[in-house]
Amino acid sequence: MSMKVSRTMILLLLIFLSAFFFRLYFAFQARNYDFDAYFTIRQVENIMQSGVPIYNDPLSYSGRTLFFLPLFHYLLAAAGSLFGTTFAFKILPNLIASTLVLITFFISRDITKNPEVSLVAALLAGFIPVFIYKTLLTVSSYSLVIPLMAFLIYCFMHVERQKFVLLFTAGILVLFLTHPISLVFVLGLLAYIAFVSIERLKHKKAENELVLFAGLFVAWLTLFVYKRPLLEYGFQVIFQNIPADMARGYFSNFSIITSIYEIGLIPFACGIYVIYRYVLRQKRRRIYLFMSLALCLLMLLWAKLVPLQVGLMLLGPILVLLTSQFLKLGMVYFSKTHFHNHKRLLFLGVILAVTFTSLLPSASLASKARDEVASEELIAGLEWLREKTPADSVVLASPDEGYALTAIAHRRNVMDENFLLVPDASQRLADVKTIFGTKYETEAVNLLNKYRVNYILLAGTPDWPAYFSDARCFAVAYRSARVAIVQSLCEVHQA
Amino acid sequence: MRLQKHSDSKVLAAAFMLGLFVLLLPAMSRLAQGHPLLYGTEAYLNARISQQALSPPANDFFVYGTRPFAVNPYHVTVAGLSKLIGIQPALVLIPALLGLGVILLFYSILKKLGLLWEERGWAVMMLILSPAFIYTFTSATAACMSVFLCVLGFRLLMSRNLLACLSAIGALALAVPFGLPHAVIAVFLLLMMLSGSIKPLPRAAAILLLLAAVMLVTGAPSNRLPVSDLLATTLSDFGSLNGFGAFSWILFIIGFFTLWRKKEMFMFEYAALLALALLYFFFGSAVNPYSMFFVSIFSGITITSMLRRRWRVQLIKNLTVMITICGLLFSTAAYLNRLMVLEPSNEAMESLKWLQDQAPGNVLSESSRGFWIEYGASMPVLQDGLSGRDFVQKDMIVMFSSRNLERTKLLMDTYSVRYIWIDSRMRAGQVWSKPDEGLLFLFRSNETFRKVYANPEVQIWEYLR
Repeated sequence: MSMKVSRTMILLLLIFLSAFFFRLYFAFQARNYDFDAYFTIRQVENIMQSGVPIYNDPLSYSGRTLFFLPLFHYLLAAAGSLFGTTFAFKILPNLIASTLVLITFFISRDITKNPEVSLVAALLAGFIPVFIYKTLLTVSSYSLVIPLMAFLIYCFMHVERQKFVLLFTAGILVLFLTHPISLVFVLGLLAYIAFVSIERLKHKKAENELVLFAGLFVAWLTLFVYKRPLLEYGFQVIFQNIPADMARGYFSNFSIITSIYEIGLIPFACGIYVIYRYVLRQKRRRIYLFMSLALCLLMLLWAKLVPLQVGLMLLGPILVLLTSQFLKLGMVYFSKTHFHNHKRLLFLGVILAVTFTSLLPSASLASKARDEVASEELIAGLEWLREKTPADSVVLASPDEGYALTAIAHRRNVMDENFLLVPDASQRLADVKTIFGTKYETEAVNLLNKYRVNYILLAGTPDWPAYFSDARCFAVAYRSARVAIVQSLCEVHQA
Repeated sequence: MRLQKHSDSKVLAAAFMLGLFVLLLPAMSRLAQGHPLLYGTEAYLNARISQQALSPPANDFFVYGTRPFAVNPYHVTVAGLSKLIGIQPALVLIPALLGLGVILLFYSILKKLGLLWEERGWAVMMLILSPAFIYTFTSATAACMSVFLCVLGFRLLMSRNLLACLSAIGALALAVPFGLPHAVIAVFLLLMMLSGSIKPLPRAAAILLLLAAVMLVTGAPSNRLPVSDLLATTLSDFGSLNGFGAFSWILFIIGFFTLWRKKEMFMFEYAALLALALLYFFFGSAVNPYSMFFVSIFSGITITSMLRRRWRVQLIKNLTVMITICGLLFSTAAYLNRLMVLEPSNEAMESLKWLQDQAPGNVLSESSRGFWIEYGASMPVLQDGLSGRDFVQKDMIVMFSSRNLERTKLLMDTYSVRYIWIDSRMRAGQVWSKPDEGLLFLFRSNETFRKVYANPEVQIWEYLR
């Protein structure tokens, strides 16, 4: 028994290390980070210098208040102070994300009581394509949130024991202080309680109490932290004041093909089958927990209340856990067939299927994440801005470059991708598009004056607006193969 | 019995003190910070009407096109007390006194309904902390009196003696002139109590169908609000002024579902909630001052159950109770903070005081400012919060948005506009989103418009005919 256990643990460790080194392999192929990462990087560097994050930001939108939860940033700052920024930004997030492998194994083993099935589930959890894509080089708090949610599920499953109640309590606090997506987790738990009632199963007192506590706690902290945005936007705060043009990209339609590719065919198909089976044919309390979370997420995705890739990232591990139940049912069925002596072949088939449907898409999306990082030329251009321009300069760039601009160049931007409590976000976006797209110099200069722009960053743009050639109003201050920085010299005066 | 009386008096004393504090805090704080005593818009309408309530004219000439000068018992009461202490203090004191009366009556009703003393105590506390209660009894709106009359009438009807019934009918009848929502609720309460032999739910359903039919036939408006507006009008944390805190809602929903198993004991409460839910679709958040009683009952019962229940883990119980109380207090504190800085600002009222000394003439401004201008400057406006003339509204939109000077001048001559009153919120997106949009662009014409007053908040322009 102990030999079998230790063999399982060794295989688990191998899977964990494979997932971790897979991530590191792609992460270290890029010198820089995804554009979104620079928000976190700037906050972490500020914490390392001054001990506090930046809430009153003089650079973003040329001055605004930021709303975000800082626990992940503090964690990275502590790691960065001890082991350096490469460890903090590249290694630690991927290490934490890889712990999903371990947690999935233990949850799966609890449900199925089958170590081999649990190892397959752990393997699937280590290679969820969308999770790798969104956490590889983004220095994203989702690296912590997803494994933490899985851990909370594990604690919830053992709620009868005092130790796990305390861990759950501490975990929900950590989860909320990391990301407001904890609301979705609590909604899932509420859906579970409702499911138990509908199926006329006996309620576990401890579960009801924990869910009540979690719900009230998350509600209170949400109201406390997001008081101003809630007052300003009400229910629409979910959409984060993202301009309509951009919101279509964030809150895309839920597509099955995309989901299969980004979650993996096996978790998707098997997870959906298990949901179908346990909604319509069988009752099993533990499965209802995962089903409730999965159905909650599917509904939020369908209603476009959660960005598509975030929803898929949360859904992936849940479907992997449901897949372990499918595999267990499959094993039981298989043992009754004529091929029951060929278990090894079956496992080999499953591993091959996982390779083709999860590992290869993971590699593909990891490569895509690597290719989407900020280019060396852009970084060089931003460093030039920091060294050669006045500290109070305003730089116009595309919104996705906004974070990098403030983090590396330390200059004010016209806009970035954080739109919460920005009063004229849609108008700004329209103006930025006009500046880059208009044929009329006066219109462009008017808008540049409106935002007091001193420099315009052109990165990877093949066609410059024609009016940039007017030397009276524009001077090329910096040029490389794919990046140019143009200085705006003119002002429009009303007659 | 002695123990219960002792508990009752303690709870009532605590409720009275808390109620007094909560109901007077907004006014005292506004005074201390130098803001105008009254906040919101309806308070200023009531102030102006109360000034003439004891000898009211037939028509109200403070709005373009006039309308009947509508006086209700609230205005008469304020007018009477204002002889001693002035209009604005009367508009603060009367709602506060009525609010304290409602607290006592509500407690008495809960006792009659058979709630335990702990449940009564918590329900009354929930009521006092409820933004709907605070708004109703601090904003100087007429709803404070109609709510008081309905609660008084209901309590008297519960006594089931002839004198009390007749007094109840009198009280409920006095609630009718306050407007259609209050009249409907008064009639509903009366019919519910008088048809006591029928079970509450079918009784409520029958009365509601009858009232709904009457309202539809007489053309009462219906709201048909989408879900996002439902949240915005019922949740104070989402911006509603007379809504409920998120925690009250959560506790109410828990209580609603958990008590459903014992619905026979709470038939009347469920029936009343059904009625209020239907009335919401006709009258929107005007129903909230009545819903607050039932939200308080269910949430009070939920808190009592949470405290009495034997939890598996004591730590979780302590944390849950602590979070609940913190959440309720935080919600109320945040709400009170909003009231303390709510418009109108000192600068707005100062500008109107200045305008009062100028030559009379019609004032053009956004319709939500109408009541302030009518009271503060004693000048007529084109539109205020009560007038619903669509053609005037359309012309006002043209006057605000058009860059055609001749067209704007023609309309201003038609409506005899003399002044244009603009505040910073109007310039920041409520009317105009750009500094040279519409009428703001036309202000460059020195022969047509002259800026006669400016402070950091407000500009007043004179139209030179």
